[in-house]
Amino acid sequence: MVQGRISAFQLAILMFQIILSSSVLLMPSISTTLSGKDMWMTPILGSVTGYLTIWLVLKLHHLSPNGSFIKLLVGTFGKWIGLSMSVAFIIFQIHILAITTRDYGEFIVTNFYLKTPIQVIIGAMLLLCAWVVKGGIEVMARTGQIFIPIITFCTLIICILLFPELNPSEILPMFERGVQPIMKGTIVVGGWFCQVTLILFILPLVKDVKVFRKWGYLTVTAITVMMLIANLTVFMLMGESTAFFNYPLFTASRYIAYAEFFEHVEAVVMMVWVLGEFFKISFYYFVIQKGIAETFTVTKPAILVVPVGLLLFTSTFWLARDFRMIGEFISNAGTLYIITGNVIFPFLVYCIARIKRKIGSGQAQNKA
Amino acid sequence: MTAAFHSHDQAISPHIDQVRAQMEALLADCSDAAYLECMIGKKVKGFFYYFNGLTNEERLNEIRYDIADWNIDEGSEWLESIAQEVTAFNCSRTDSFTDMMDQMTLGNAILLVDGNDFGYVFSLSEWRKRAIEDPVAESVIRGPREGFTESLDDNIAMLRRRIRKSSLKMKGIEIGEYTKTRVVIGFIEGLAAPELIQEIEERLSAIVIDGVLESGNIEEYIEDQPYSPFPQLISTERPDTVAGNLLEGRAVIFTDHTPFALIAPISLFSLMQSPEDYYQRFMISTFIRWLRYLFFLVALLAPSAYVALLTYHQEMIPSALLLSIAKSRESIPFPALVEAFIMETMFEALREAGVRLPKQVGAAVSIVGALVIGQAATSAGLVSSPMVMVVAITGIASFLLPHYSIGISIRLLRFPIMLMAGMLGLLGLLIGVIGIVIHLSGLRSFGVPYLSPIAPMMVGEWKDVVMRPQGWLSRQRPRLTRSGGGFRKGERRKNVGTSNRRE
Repeated sequence: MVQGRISAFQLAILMFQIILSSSVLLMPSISTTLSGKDMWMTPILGSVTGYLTIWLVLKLHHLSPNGSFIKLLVGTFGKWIGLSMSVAFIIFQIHILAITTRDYGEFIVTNFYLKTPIQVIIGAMLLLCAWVVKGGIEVMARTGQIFIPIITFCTLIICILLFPELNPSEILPMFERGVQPIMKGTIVVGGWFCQVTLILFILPLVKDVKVFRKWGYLTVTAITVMMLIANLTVFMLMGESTAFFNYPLFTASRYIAYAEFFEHVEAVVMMVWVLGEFFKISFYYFVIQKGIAETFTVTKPAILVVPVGLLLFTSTFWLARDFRMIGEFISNAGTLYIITGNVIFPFLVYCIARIKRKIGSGQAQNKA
Repeated sequence: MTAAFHSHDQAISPHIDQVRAQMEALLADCSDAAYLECMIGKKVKGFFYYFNGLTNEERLNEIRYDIADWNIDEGSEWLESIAQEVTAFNCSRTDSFTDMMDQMTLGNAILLVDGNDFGYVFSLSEWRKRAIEDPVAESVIRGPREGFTESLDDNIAMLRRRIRKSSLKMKGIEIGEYTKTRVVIGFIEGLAAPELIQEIEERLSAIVIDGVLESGNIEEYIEDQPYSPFPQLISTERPDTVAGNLLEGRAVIFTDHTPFALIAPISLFSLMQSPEDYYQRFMISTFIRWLRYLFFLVALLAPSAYVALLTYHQEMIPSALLLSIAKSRESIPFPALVEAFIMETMFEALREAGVRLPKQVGAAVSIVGALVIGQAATSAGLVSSPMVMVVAITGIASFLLPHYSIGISIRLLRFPIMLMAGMLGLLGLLIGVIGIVIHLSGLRSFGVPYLSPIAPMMVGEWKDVVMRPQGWLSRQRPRLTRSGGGFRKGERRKNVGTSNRRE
């Protein structure tokens, strides 16, 4: 396998999609439940997490030897603790990916293919992802450059087509229930933004890391704008009843009807979401495969593609008995869980590594 | 003794009768080999050897009479005099039987002289060639009407007439154990990347093969990914296409005995462009390019989209249309997928038959074809009329692409996508499309990403993809990986001449 390299811009595009893919569809409902009429503010406030994570990731990248996070862990905590930490981190990512994949499968099965076994839907998706992961990050980035503009365009078109149905007064009055509900919603949005941490594993493959700072912050801004558009559209259309739907934007698309024949575009929303999830899953897949390869110093990462794929496939079903369990997990502990793993853990690693380096250089000076 | 005579490595004997015996053994059972006896200066015996039909025999006879009248000095000096006289003709020396046979198969005549342990080669090759004609597979409304022929030299001459600079280089190489086919790499020095030329040379010289009969034999060996349905080189029979591509820094590979030259490297988008695009007005060409992109998708997806919508997403079809489709499908015993498969296979069979059949039978096939695909099939209740329409549109769409090779690839890919759509509806269709794009993203043609300039993105080159820019707007040459690209000559169009000035 040729371990291709990508440009900062290509990584930015992929990052844009992996954050947006599930959030546009799922987030409006959750943030309405938590923040009510002020739900549209949550992406703006939540983006702070995004900027912070980008900053943290870049700092960690500069600290890491050869840009490898796992080498940093080993270097800071010693071989055994470092390796077990990296294994734990990878298992954590597998868990998150399993939730994402299951969510995707359930969406397709409950809304479109009622009689198709979920294993087929998820298996087909994982096969595609395995193919692109085998091709390497370069192939994934190029596929992204073809599809991600189309996904974004379609999402925007759906929002634009809903324009005549919107009722802007839905969002008034502002701050109806004070600041606390907004903060609750913000944390949930932060749970999406913090997935940016994944790029820690991809940064060593970026040709021009120096310009990534700019692209990273720009991408977070772009994600915020897209989330804002989706949230506003959905909420102005459905008001507080947004909270009752699992996939409000999908429900919203049913309102689209033009010229007596352009209607029932739900299947288009489905296709857009499948495309988006394809990038999210394959990105996670690639990171997990790369993480395992680095932890156990596998020289040919390509041989891991199939075993990792099988692991992901089975873990999707080990995860929970039914979708309700997942739903409960996401709305109760999920956000804290993902933020702990993706922000707090790397942040602690960063602090300890910095302190250790300070002490190390102090000792070196003392010796000299 | 005969075994020794068959060896190509033996020395050429200075005694003319022995040489004759050697030659006869080598040319045994070659009924098209001929020889002519001659007396140089009416004193020294010599023999001309050549192959019938490959050599200009009139000219050979003239030479034969000419050398009979030579004055040859007496004594031992005559050997040198022959050598001097002979150089007055277009002639060279050859020292081995292997080389002699090579020269004879090229159409040259060999002169063996008594007392010499070498032969003389007279360049007299001449054989019947097809005249330069219209390119059949790539016709244009506006543009040059000449196409390549089977003669390598004519083809190169056609190109040389178009690009009159010594920096147009032609590197020759011989491929094929038996055919010894001449293959020539053409490129413009300074525009084409040296690494590209080196890579093409390396790949060509690595070919070990009995025979090269067409450029397709070579293409198979030098393309990056042989297990891909997509062509990674353009084959063309138009000199202007070749010249245009050379000017963009690409290289061309000519093969002797075929009118098809190969162009490398290419991208998917160069397969969507016709040379005529640059001869028509830019707005019209831009429109036509968009039309091609649209119908590229139609050719690939129309039948599968029809199957998917009809089987899984009926709600997306407007109700009036859905009713009429349902009515016409009422008596059809097959599901939409089977119907689509039957019709698409039938169409492909008719297309192939149309290509193969002799002209006299062609009319019959088109009549029968119209019946099979058209009215009769519908009224027999085998297929529904909307399906007939979808198949017809798909068929037309695949012929809209200017290069046959890309048209046939997407016709092939249509079938698996149709199957996916039949199993999983639009999701299956999407999975198929994602699969194709993954494949294309990983594909390269001589190091150039197949989807460039879209992925990886080179915004500067989008002009030539989303539109057909006017000459002065497209000064940037394509950056074919590694090569610098650089700028074309040219400034913005100026309005010169008096009639253009405003009073």
